[in-house]
Amino acid sequence: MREHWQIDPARAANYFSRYGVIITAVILVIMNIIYTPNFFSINTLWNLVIQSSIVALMTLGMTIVITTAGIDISVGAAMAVCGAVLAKYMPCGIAAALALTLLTGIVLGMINGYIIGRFNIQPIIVTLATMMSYRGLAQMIGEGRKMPVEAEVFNNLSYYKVFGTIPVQLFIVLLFALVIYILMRKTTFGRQVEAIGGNEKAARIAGVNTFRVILVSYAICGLAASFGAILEAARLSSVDVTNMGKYIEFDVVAAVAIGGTFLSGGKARILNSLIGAWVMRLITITVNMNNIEYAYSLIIKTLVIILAVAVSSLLNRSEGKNI
Amino acid sequence: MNSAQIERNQNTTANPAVSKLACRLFGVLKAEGVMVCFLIIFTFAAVNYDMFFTARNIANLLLSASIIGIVALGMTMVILTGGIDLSVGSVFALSGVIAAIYAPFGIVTAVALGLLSGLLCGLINGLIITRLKIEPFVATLAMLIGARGLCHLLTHSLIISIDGSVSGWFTSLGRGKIIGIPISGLIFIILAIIISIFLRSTVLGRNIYAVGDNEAGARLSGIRINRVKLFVYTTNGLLAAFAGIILSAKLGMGQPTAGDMYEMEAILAVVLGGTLITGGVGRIRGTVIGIFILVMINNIFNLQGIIETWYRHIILGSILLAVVIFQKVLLIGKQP
Repeated sequence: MREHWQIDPARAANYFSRYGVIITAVILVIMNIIYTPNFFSINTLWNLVIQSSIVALMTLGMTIVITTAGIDISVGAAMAVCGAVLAKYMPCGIAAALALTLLTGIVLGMINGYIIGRFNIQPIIVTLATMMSYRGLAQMIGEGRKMPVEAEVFNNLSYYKVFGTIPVQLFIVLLFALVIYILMRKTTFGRQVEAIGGNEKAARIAGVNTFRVILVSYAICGLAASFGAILEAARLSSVDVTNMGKYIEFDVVAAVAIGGTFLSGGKARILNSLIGAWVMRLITITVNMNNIEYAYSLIIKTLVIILAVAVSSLLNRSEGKNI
Repeated sequence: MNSAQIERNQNTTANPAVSKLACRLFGVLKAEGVMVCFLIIFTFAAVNYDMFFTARNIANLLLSASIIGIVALGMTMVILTGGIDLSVGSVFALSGVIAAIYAPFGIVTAVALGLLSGLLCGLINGLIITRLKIEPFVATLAMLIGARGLCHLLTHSLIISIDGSVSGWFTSLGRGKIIGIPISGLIFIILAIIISIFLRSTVLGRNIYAVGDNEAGARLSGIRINRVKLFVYTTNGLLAAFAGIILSAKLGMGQPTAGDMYEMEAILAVVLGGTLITGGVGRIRGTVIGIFILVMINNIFNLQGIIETWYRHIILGSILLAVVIFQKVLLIGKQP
């Protein structure tokens, strides 16, 4: 009976990495309810999920990549290329433009995955290089200008509500989250991704085609970036090739990190990443609604990231090497 | 084994002299790849542009290399330990802003406070990484956001201009020249030499390599890993702050948005210079050449004039990819 009362560090670490972000979200919401006037209205909630949808989509893709012990910092630039392609081919018809955009995202992701998987080079360096190249590519397609997206149906997409109530952005995010969740939890592919993140050499010896799994992981991340580009283009009715998706990779990686997915790979927490993206947005909304300077939201974000990662890593350390 | 491979094997066995020469050529390429790359670009530029090889243009090259170069020197040490520091761009901006804000209280105070802010940021990075055991990527990512936030907070997102009458030597830090050589360029070269000697011939310097090469091994052989890392991140913050102050001195103002993407450029220069991102292997000399390659490419684009700026991004990215793939292929080629 005695062990029952002792705190087992392994279990504590496990619980924290699983529920830490949920606790953070709940604390933020409660603080908001107390301090922020008009916070608890349905509009705020819709705003939260709509504004966070782009980061949320890309966070889901990034979670898979980070689970393979990789990282993709080219997502923001890939998003800009997708946006440029979307704007350029919109006159050819919405369906063609959308298909081409998604294809572009997949191809850009596969380029990353191919180089990382084939040559076994550190993902951060490869995606740093492709980040620059993709940004240049986007500017080349758009000739450095802001590209208008001229299609009324497409521009009205942002205001469309599924079943008359759910904003389309939330619907897409939830659908994508469901697909990724099933992919990571119920399929061989998901298991193989976690195996590679845990120990790539062991996974290869055990017969996992590591090259193919890495290729697909980065392709999914690229696909998520193209989803993000479509939503952003629909929201703004234009694509700014120079600034679209700039710095979004930092928000995305931070969301994954506070979601409890270890950046050293091996364990994916899909739904927590989603909540992580919402927490990042919640911080910004809190700051905005209380008329606090923008700068504070950056500092609060910093503290939340450090706190969330530190606690899980400290608990993790007392438990042992890996969880 | 396919026919081509057999043929190649026969060739090598038949011609030991040729294979020896090829081996040696490979070795030179591997060790001096950056230098070769540098010389090719330099010759290309000197042949194609009359303006390039003039004293004035070379001095300008040195000037533009110096600021990002000082950041890259610190980054080299961080990467040698197997870490990474994404916060340098923000720390760079923070120190420049602080120096500009406190310039009316005397230039010594301003510079000291600017340097102190960088030192503290670096120290906090180091403490978070060593004490809280957070991966450098995440810890410095957080600092990137936080220090940038502080910049905006201190300046209310405005540019702070420094009164020109405040001090002569402060502005000459950024703009001054000694016999035609920019002072900041001289500082960069001197710092590079000092750090190079430090890395090669002091105990702490060797320990930096040891930690990056094999952390567990270094710990078992009695090296205080945490101290080494703390030193490296603190020094890096200090160097980034110093570079930020030089920029403020050069422009005569502190910008909260300065140093945007400097972390990426610094990492790019370090990797171009042949330092392995996994740590343990690399030289300051490589980083210095890497910086000059970047600056020369920029210069060529400026001299060419007609080429759109976005090709620069594509070309830089492609060069970086080519270099890392080349390094990897050569390394794999050596140990089958």
